[in-house]
Amino acid sequence: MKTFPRSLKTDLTILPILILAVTIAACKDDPQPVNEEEVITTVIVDLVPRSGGNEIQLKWYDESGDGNPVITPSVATLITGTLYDAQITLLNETVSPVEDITEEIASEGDDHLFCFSVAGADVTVAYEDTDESGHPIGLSTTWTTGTGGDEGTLTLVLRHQPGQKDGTCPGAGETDVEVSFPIQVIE
Amino acid sequence: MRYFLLLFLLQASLTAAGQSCTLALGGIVKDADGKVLPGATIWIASLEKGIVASPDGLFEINALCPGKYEVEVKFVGYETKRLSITLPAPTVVIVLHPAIEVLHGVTVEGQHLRQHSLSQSATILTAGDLAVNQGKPLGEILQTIPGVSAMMTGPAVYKPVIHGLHGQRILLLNNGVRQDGQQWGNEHAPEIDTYIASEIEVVKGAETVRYGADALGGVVIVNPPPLSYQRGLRGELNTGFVSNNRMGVFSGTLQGGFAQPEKGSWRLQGTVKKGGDYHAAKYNLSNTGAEEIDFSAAIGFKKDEQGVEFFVSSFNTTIGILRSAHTGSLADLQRSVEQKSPAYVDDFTYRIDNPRQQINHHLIKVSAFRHTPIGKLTFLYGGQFNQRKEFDVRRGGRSNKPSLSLDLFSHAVDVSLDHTLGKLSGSAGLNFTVKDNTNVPGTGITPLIPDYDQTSAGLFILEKLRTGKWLFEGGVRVDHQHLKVMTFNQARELLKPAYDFHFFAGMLGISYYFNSQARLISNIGMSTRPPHVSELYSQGLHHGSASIEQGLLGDGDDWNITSPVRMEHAWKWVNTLQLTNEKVALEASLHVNHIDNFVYLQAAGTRLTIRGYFPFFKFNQTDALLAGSDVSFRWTMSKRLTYAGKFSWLYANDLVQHDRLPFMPPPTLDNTITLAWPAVGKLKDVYFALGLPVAFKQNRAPLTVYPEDIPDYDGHKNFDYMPAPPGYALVSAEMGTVFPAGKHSMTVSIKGENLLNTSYRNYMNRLRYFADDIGRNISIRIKYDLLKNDKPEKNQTP
Repeated sequence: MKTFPRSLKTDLTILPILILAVTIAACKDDPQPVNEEEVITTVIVDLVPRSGGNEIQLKWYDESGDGNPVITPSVATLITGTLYDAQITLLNETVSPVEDITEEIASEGDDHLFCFSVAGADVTVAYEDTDESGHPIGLSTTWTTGTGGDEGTLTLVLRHQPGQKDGTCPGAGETDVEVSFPIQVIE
Repeated sequence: MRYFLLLFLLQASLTAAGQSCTLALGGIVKDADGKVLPGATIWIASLEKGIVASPDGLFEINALCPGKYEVEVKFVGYETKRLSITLPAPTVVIVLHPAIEVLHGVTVEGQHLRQHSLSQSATILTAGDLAVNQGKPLGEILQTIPGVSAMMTGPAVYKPVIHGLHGQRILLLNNGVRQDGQQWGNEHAPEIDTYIASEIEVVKGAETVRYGADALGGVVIVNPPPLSYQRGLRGELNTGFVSNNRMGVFSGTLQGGFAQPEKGSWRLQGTVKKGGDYHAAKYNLSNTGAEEIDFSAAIGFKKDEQGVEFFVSSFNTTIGILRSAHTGSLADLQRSVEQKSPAYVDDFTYRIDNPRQQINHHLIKVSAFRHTPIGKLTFLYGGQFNQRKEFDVRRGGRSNKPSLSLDLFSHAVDVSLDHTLGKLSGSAGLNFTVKDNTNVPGTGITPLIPDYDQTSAGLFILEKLRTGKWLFEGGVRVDHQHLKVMTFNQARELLKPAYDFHFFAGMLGISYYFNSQARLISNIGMSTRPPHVSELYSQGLHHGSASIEQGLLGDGDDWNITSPVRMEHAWKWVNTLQLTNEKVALEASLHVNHIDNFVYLQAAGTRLTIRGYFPFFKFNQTDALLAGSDVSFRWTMSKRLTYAGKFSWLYANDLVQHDRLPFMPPPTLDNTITLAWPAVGKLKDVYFALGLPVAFKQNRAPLTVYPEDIPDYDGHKNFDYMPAPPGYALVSAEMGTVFPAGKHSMTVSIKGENLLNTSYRNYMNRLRYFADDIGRNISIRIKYDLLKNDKPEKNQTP
């Protein structure tokens, strides 16, 4: 402790000024940029016709994770009267190496549920996997096409429902992923 | 002239009443600055005797019998003082404090020196008003004041709103120290334990000259009782039980004075609160529990012309946010808007899950005063440490990691000199503050507001001139603020923009007494406020409102750190008329607030993300007009029966876009009928009250754009996801009494709110998209006074 003039020493009011001076003098470290941990940049649906034929990959890619996505193909064409095995992959490509979110979803299957809705196209989606409680997850599904028609959309929603999952769509909880793919069923 | 007449009448009555008793009660009446108060009336109600103090402030009432007398001392512009004096007694010195609310019945008088201009419209909640609401959040208690509402985030988070303004535009003064918490968020409630307070005062005008830019919309002053320098141990125990969320709250205060080596005093206080899920009329509001542990300690020393006080307090709370209010996308929000009840309803529990807020707020205060030949010099240091952690529902076991974690250190030094020069009195001073806000690393989420350092200094002078029935006030203030921000651009490079703001404020006010029953006060304040960091550099996704926000300096996806920053300029004019007589008391005020460059969140399109579309809001500036009126009315129908009514309305308009502003309080009307008895048998102060609070529909709510329509909405008008909810009237009842309990006393009150269990939604509740407000709620509060010496302090030196 440095010595101060005696008159000041007895004056209690000097103490806060000291505290203040110390604080101002204290330097602050520069902050580091945050590595976003829960980002999903990429949704991939791989469609494999069970009886052979052309495989299709639907991809929704958003580089930064906060907008301006690239959706490929512009319209996915599915063949009429075909059963496709569909497998969903989720990636975080903002980090290197790329993080595979699919595993996280699979290991927390009790908390997650994929919901599918199709508008304007004859496609039926059925669950092929279940969690520990016997409720579907939706990472593996089958897509069955009916008759051909115009362009429609398939919307895929990942619901996060910790402690609330009862297997119904949309159910309680919140949305972690909601992407739409343009699809068309053709001859 | 009037006084002389009064003097004559009093003398006459005195002579008539004079009997064989020969004692005298004599003394002098002064104000806190030591100035004598000629014309003050000294009144002994039991004898209907009194006198007016002479031009030198002296008085003497003769021909009194020995015994105890309740003496009332009144002077226009000052708080009435009630003393208990046992004759024979030596000469008394009676010190009166200036009051804003001298008119009895309109608003009750406070025990503190007013910490604001006398021409301001202000309302005091006294210990009695607080007692029936104790245990509730500060913001909820303040709603009982006309013109004050609250922005709610569920039943446990209340953010005070004064005449439509909140957050950065409202200053909270906690025990004399400006509260430095995270006031930028709509879901951030003040970090204050209301059990600390013996009175809370709300100033509804701009008090920026004294307190700086944060007081643009008004000031909430939370005052603990002054330290008592009387010897002896005293205390108070409070308990409360609330049925709706099955909450229990316990609070205790212990205080004492000691004489050696100096005149000293201490106080210890603590509060523990635990409540579970609240309940709406028809369902449980899952995950709305809250718990809180607070304590404070104070010690003070006084010697002759100087004194010093130390105060520490710690506020610690965890608050659950309605589980169903955590939305991941617009589609989630659309479902909530469509559904009548929340998506997730579970059984009652005390457990608090995510989403939740965990807040710790610590304060150290040192204050000292000294009387100098030029006036009273006051020094105040306040050091605060605010920690806020918000936990969201997260994936991959990250739920125990906060999504937002902020540490805010702040230091404030205030020095002021109160002085009196003849009829002129005033205060001059300087404020100095330093704030250091840091995002604690490890959240895994880009922070909503960046790190920043802020230093500011202000210099002010306020003077008032009292002449007869008039009081004139005026003041000016100059400020300088240096702001250094540390944020990142899209390329993840650190940016360190710095800003210097110079700004000033001014105030003019008058107070005029038409007669002893009517007064007009008028105050016009000019304020300048630089935008807060959150308004400049916010970025990110808000789960509660399912929206993406960007600060004023956002430019596309990046920051334009060199673009000029415009400050808010506000003119707030508040006029209040107070009328009172034995039967009726009326206080009516009109206020107008014109704010140039008013900072607000403007709808700016949508963004398609992997979670679907989100509305994109960008902070923008416009010119805003807020005007309204507050009326309170009390009618004493008979000795026992009183009606009290309060009404307030507000008009808010965006003057540039000719648009409505979001989250402005709708008109409200509060009605209470009270039946009271001073004593029933051994019970004292027995009362029954029936209340009918009414909230009208907000007819000036912004355009409704349902969440599902947002991707197609390309306008820039303000919008809301849902139409304003209909108005509602609730029924409440209350009763209370004071029991003698040995040497001590026990105050018991029972209150029932929303007795008919009405389902309703409050426009000002941000969770109204998700769930109803709370249903029936019965609460019991018991206060046990361990007061040994209840003699009022006599012969106190100013």
